[in-house]
Amino acid sequence: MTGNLNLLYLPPFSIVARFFLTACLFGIFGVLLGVYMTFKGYLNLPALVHIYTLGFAGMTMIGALFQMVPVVAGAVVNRPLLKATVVHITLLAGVILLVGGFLRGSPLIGGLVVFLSILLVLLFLGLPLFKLESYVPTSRGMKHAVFMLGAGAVLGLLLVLVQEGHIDLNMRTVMDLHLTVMLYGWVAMLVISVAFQVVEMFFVAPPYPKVVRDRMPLALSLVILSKLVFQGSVAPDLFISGLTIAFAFLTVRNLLLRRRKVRDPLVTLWYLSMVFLVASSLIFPLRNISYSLFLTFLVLFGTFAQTVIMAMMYRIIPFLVWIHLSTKGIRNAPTMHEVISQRSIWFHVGVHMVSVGVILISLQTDLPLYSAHLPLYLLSFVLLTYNVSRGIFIYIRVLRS
Amino acid sequence: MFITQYLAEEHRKCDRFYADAEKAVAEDRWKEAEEAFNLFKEKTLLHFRKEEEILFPEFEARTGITMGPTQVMRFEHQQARELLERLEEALKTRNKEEFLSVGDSLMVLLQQHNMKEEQILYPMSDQHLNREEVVERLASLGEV
Repeated sequence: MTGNLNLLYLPPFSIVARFFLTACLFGIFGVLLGVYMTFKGYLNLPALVHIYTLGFAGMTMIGALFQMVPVVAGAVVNRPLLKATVVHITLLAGVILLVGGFLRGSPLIGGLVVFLSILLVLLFLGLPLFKLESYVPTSRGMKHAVFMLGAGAVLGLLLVLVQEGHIDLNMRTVMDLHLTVMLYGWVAMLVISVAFQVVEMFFVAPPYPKVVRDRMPLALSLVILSKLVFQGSVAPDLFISGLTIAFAFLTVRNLLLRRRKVRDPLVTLWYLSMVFLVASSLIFPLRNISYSLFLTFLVLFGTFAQTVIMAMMYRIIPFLVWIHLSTKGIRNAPTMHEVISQRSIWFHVGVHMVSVGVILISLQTDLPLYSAHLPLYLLSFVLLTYNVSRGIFIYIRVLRS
Repeated sequence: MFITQYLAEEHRKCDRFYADAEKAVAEDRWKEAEEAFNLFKEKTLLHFRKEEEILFPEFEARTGITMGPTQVMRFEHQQARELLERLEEALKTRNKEEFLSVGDSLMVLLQQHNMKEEQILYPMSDQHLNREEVVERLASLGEV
């Protein structure tokens, strides 16, 4: 175990910077794709969904894992820059090919490249993580999330093979499993695991109950896997829903009891994300009743993920800029609010709330708001890209001065 | 008592002291902010001292690892001390924006530092050192 300790270091800033910036750009491309589809009068849901789930959320979460696996879990990741570069390029190519493939009706090549990129994540980050004994719940939860990422990738590849007629399986069943494993097993699991640590530590809040910290990731994994056995049954969906709603309520309770009571946009983002987690989980067991409910579920869950990712980016980028500059011996390096101002974050939070409100209203009513949410989403992702880029440029400028 | 439990509890106490100082600054209660900050600074530096004077040398002597985690931890303590000085300056000049910005950086620095200690260094110390004796020596330096 002592070998693990040699790399209690800071992974290079360019790793997180390239993943986060690419994610922001995929957010913008996603909106532009939505604009294109609106003008053409059709909706290619798989293309639109994957540009966000893989291009925006996946890219951010994998970038963050390159930072968290050594720092939070203490696992050794040798030559991180090389590994991150390989994963980044493969995932970038995979997302472009997959989305393009969905648009052309042939996603096999893109699916294979995305699958390869996730295999690389398992090899470079999952392997060192699994080799390590976990002393904190976050590290254990991360193992579950990474395992589910692998399982979700296998299901995704199966789905593509079924769609192209290479394998004869029930496409609806495979798609439902793929969706559940990726959204709840990977995205929600990682958020839950990270929250165990960051909500308590960053906001000086009470810890989650021990039984929740110790058992929830395992329980969530088991319930998700039970869908393989209880196909078609709503019981696993109800349990998944119950577990995530319980987590969201505990998070809100802990945030309300936090000691750091200063006005903080990141707390607002955490509250918002939990509201959307509850709303999406309430609809999750009902998602297959109608297409409208399915779309509403996707938007709500997507908003949960987007909101928590915004909170993550606005915490990680300014801190990394400061710590990398400070570590390089720069005295009085710009601190967090100097890198990305609180005012910019608050403004973005406002735009984000309005854009989400408009899309939710447009989904439930016949009001002509469908075209209004696109400029708002565009503004939201442009603001995120601007703020993240600003942090990166400040880092480069200070380093060169 | 485990070293992990003893020192992790000190982390939480220091966090609470900082939260009190930050809240007072945010509400322009500068006199109370100074008192709360002084307590936070005193206790944080005491915690660092316990690690630097007792835990790290003991760990290095027992494991033979002198250029690894303990060096990183000492370096991060130094970074935290610099931020503490900037916070003190911001308090003197009653610069709320500066205090909250530097304070946010310090909190994240301390939290990621604490995560590494609580995930790796402390459990290893519990495994390799005479934990009862170490905790006793840590406690002899004072209470955080």
